[in-house]
Amino acid sequence: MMDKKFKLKFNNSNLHESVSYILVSKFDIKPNVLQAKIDGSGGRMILSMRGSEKNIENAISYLESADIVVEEADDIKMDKKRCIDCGSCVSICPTFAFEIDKSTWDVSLDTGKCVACGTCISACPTHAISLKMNL
Amino acid sequence: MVNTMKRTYSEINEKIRKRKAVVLTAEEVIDVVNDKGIKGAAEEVDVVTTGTFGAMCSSGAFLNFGHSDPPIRMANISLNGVQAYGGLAAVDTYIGATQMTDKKGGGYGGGHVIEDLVAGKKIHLVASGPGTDCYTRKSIETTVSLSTMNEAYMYNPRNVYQNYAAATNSTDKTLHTYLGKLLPNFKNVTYSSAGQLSPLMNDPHLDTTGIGTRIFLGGGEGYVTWSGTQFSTAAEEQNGVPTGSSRTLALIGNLRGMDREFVRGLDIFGYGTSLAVGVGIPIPILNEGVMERCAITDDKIFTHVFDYGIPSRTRPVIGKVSYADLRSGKVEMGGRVMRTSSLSSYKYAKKVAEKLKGWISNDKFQLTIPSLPLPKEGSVKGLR
Ligand code: SF4
Ligand code: SF4
Repeated sequence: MMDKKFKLKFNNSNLHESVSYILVSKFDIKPNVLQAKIDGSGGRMILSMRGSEKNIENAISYLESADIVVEEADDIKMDKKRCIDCGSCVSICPTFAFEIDKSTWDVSLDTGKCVACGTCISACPTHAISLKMNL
Repeated sequence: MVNTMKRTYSEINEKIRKRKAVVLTAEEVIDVVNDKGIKGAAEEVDVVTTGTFGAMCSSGAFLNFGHSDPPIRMANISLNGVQAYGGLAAVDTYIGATQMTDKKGGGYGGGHVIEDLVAGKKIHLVASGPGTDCYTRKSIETTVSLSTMNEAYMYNPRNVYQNYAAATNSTDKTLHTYLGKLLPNFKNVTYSSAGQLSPLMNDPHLDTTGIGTRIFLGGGEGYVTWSGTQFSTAAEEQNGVPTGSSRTLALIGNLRGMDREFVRGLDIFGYGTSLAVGVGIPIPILNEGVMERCAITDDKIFTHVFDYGIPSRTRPVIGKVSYADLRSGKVEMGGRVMRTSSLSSYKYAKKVAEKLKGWISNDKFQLTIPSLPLPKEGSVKGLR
């Protein structure tokens, strides 16, 4: 099992594809739409996929064959050289993506749980967290 | 309890010189006390080291740049775009942690300048002055660093607050405070204290800490110079320690010899900049009473949770919690479960206490007898 985030670009001809449904039914992938912007000329979406490596690979091939451009999206990053392990980010994350090790008091981030809401970025006093997920 | 065991500073220092002193952190000593009791622990342990690492806004540094040729009396001084004080002698200044950059976008301030200095980085200095018969030059723009300056020492008027309030938010808007981001409707509680590792929680009545006490400051050696601003003894005590902000210390230390790891500029969103400083104070186990106070644990240290949604000096209290509960990740109060997080770093507080322990164990740091005790009483006035 792995978690990966992708940026999908649609055009008018494939905009009708129900990506989430296909990912679930055909590839046994748990998709999560993090951001989406759709208009008359097409659309863009940031989507996380949770599934086996093989299934994710197959799904990408399938999407590409439907003329959807798939790029790996920049994931959220925590720079441990800047981080002072204060924990300010911990209680404000809606998906409990940060964890504190109760013996070392080290703060770590499970990027797979992150839904790119952006709340933690400004909560960090050392600018240690970066999230570049532009649609 | 009959107080039998007694130890002197010189006996402890003699053991340190022989590398025979038994030094433990305030966390490690808890187990020893549980195991052997206060008496047993006091007989065994010579020194307990404490530590804290968090935002200490009342921090800054005095700098002397040296004279240019022709010389200038600097009146307006900026370091990397951050204003420094121009009201001292010609090339002396004080840079404060919360002074923010003049540049748009912010995110940088006096705390960062101090971190950069300690890291050995070059700093852009721009200064101007009136031009006088003795200081003819009117402006200068140059680069300085720790190695080009004469003196550079940290002087912090208020550090190591003995306990501090915890914060929550009753309103339906997110608040950005110096205690971090507070989500709406009591969703989280934030706090800032090293609790059982915190220097002044282990020496709550300043029995061993006084003016002249040598300490760990920012990764180097420092000293207690005075009681800190807003020094107070008014807070109610529970288990021998105050349940609200109380005593504070003024600290001094040479920036040269400090370590960037323990001197970190902070940008607290919506509040401004600050400086996280690592401070560790050694406690000589002079008798069983001192040992007993060093054995304090997070479940015995309490603080009050205040509603920062009410913009008043006297914010309403939502409840009282222990640091053990705060550190568990959530607290229950008034039927609500609230997530907790800290603004100070317990991991770095431990690092401070461990580093100081290493210095003392390896005869790199001797204990000093205070030249004067700190005040026994103090209270804080408001401003009308
Ligand atoms: S961006 Fe949002 S979901 Fe992701 S780690 Fe930060 S707070 Fe959590
Ligand atoms: S808020 Fe920033 S510095 Fe604090 S633990 Fe999180 S990532 Fe680290």
